[in-house]
Amino acid sequence: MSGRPSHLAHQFADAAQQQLAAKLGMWAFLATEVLFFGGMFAAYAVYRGRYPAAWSEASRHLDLWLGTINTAVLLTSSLTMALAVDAARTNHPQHTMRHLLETILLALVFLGIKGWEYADKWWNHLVPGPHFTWHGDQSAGAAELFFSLYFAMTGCHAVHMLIGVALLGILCRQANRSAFSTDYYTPVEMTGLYWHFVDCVWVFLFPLLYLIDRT
Amino acid sequence: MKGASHRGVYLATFGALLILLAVTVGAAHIPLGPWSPVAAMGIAAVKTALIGLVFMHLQQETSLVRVFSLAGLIWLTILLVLLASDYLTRTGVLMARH
Repeated sequence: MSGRPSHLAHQFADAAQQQLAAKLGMWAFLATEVLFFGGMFAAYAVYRGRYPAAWSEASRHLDLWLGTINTAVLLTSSLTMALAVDAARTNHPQHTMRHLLETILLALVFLGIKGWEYADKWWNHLVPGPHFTWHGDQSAGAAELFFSLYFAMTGCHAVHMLIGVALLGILCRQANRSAFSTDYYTPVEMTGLYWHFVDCVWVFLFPLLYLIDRT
Repeated sequence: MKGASHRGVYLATFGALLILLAVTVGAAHIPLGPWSPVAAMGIAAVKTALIGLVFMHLQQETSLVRVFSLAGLIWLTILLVLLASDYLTRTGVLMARH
């Protein structure tokens, strides 16, 4: 076993093979994630097609400014995540740590704003259920359906972000122990792929939920 | 994957993503009729392509990794196409109701 780096698992011939296996596994997992969210996007397409007027009215009850700011926050967190991977790859552990912490901070800002929006929906009786009340011109049932999908889709997205924050926290601990270098930074890279995927989901959720019709 | 930093490329991509965000919010305020969702999804697809190619490194990956990255989208396309073949071919099912 001489000359074999400690991060190389025994079943792999070399570090490059191990890294490729990790990437393929991660992308296969992300394919299942695409389908996980895909079912909800499919339901969205059917009911938006069926109740276009009620959905555009319901969509205007979402705060466009908060949604836009949150999209910008999430895109920025993708940038800091990409910079964290870049710093790990180019052997700058302090920068890796800093960018990971920035990503966590931006994620918490996003979740804070999301929580604020949820609270606003709660106080305005727009959470589907026995207390849902609708004062719009269009069908209350169709509007409730919109908010059901709004909470299901953004809720699943937020849970993914919470998992991402936990993963980033673990990476910070590992980075603190100087676990990453140019030769081995796979955990940072894989968490990056997951983080960018979650960002991509939001890139579709934002126009579908907040921007149905703002004219 | 080793070697020089790509900070500059990442910052430029981030700038492009913010511009596209502004464009998509702006486009929602223009009466485009049935083209409005097409524009919104088109811009989202461009943003996703930028994130995938640059932030997720698909630009530099081997074709094997790229094929894996497309697998989810191919199955999602099957899901949506078969769904549409059902809902769009039955009169009354997808008709707008108020």
